[in-house]
Amino acid sequence: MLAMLAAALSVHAQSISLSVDTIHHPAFDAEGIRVDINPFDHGIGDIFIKRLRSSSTEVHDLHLHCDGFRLSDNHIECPQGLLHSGKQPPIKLSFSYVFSSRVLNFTLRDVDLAHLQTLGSGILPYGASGRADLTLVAGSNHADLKLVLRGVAFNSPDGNHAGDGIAAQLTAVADRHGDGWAWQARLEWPQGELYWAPWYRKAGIRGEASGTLNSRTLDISLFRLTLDKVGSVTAALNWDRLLGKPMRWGFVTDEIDLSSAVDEWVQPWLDQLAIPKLHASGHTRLSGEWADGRLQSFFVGLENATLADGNGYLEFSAINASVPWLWNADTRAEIAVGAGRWGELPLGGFNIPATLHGDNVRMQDVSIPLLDGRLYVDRFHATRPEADWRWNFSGGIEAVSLPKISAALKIPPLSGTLTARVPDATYERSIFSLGGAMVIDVFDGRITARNLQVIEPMSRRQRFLANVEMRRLDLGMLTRTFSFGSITGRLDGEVKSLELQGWKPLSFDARFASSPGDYPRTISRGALQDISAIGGAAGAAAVKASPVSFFNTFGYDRIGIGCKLKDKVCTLEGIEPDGKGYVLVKGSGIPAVKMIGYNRNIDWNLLVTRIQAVIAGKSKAVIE
Amino acid sequence: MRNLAITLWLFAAAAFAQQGNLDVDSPAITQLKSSMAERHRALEPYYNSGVVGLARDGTVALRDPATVPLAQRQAVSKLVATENEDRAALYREITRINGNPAWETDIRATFAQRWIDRAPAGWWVQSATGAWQKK
Repeated sequence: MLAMLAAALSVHAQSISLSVDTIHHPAFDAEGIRVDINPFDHGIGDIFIKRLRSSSTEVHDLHLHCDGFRLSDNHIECPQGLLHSGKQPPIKLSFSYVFSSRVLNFTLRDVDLAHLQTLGSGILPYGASGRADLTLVAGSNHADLKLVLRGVAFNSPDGNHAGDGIAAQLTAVADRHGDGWAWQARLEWPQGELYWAPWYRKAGIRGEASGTLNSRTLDISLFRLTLDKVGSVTAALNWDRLLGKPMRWGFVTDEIDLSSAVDEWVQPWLDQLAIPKLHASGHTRLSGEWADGRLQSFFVGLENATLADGNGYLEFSAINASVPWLWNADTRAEIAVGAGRWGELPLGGFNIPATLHGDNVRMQDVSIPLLDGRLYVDRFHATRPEADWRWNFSGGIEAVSLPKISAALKIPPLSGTLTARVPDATYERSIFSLGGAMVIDVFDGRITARNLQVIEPMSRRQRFLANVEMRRLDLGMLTRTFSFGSITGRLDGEVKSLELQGWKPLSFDARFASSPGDYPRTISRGALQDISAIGGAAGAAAVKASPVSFFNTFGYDRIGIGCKLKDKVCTLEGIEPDGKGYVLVKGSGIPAVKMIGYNRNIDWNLLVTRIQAVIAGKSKAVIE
Repeated sequence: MRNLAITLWLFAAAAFAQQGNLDVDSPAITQLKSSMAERHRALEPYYNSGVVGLARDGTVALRDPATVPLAQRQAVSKLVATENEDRAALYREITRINGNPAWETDIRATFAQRWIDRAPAGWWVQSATGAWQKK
């Protein structure tokens, strides 16, 4: 509506001056307007506007100089205008306005966005630069818009939102709809790069949208976005223009490439959480709905997908999953895994039925085939009472034969069966704790692990803590398995404060010694050689035997060794001190043997190398 | 400049140990020190240019990433996130080996202040009011 609250027309010797207090239009308000026309100078006109305001922008003290200016009782026209603001270079524009039909035709040609920026705050976000063409034809009931951007760059103050070299085109048409507008728009972004923390994208996006706009809300009822190499997503949004925030939004994707989606969209987000890299392939479908200040629902579907951790240690393949979630109701998720791999151990196919409800995830009776046995979960419950997730479960490992495990791991064949029960494992404050004990019956004895914990299990820095106890392992079976000479007897062991990272020990305090009790105790010449070889060529171990040269097997009373690992150095000890050394093997009967170690400290990696060499049969030690 | 990181660490650790009978030595902490010292070589140019600063909560922060090319911002952001993960793990590990999770806030504050005190001239650090200033 055009309102002339006060107008004054004055005619001087060479010009006409028209003043208008206010102009109201659905798209803008203008105040303090003065139009100076020089009728003797072929249509020269100057328009001064004290304040020009749209819904998001307000500018002051504008001066528009027009060549070919026309003003009649029905229209105003400026075919070649230069808009001045302060000392900045002028902006080229043209416009016309028909009072009767209220049709505005406005054009900006090759405008420098940096100059546009200087007109006033809120015109462009983040200090944008680049060039643009704008054509707007806006009437009372219909509007057309075309915006072409070239070489656009911008940077938010915190650097989290930035673009560079962007070329894009936006076209839109709108028609009057009640007290607002119904519109359709099309976006093409063929060139440039965009960083919207934590995501980065190089062009290749096209979009079409439609919706309504009024003074209160922007409603995007349908927004179809296609991303090259990823796929398409359809979204909707309701934006409160007065509050400046979304009221609700939602999206649903087509079938999209999981590998590209993870690399481009999921991994940057995981990186911010310092979660290790995730490899994925296959296809996925996603949807989500947000309203009332929170996520209301989502759906994740996986089709023939493969997921693996960055190190390739854990992998699941042939995954087909349907995971619906609602904030305020129970949903049932079905996840089917065709096969998997845990390190070198193959996993069979399995199903995970889960119940979801808000910040609660429950599973029960999950059975994962592992060689000839299984891993199983009787019960699992995850919840998030505060900011962090907590979960607990009970389950275990059942009847996996150690020969099959050792074959899969390509280690010397072990005998026995691996069965372990986890009665109550918990995860809280970044620590995963296995309640109870894990028991493995092996080498005709028993290995028990207690106080098992995984620190920061979701990080690349996860650590494993435990106390391990070994009782009455058959030394004959043990030494045959590892080709470590030949020792008959029984072995007890304690590994206290074991701490592993990446399955390599950081520290422990370990002692191994012959078990108490009455049983045959012999040690072969080969075993003595192997123990000596582990001590190293520096004569770490001295063997006293009498008469050693004529016998291949010796009796012993006790054998034992201790290693306290810290800072990659193992501090060694035996079953008792002997002068400056320590006794590793204390003989008994005839022929008697005694082995004494003198090397107190040994580099852990060197020790491991020597043990591996001994097992491989490469030791050079000689007993004279 | 790996030595610089280790020196900063030693000052922080020593200062912290002076606060009381606290254990700041464990295999995991040794690993974390090594990891942080290694990463320091990648972070140092960003400290020097002011892209990354030392925050008052014991973390490092992307203070002014605008000067980093767009294609590299993800990498810098990941570098900062990984460094902060190690720092958080460090503070948690100290509380863990000392058996007192409630100390984490104090531990963070002590380390933060020492790291800021010992930062070289030209680095950006965050004051108690939250404002960034160049040393």
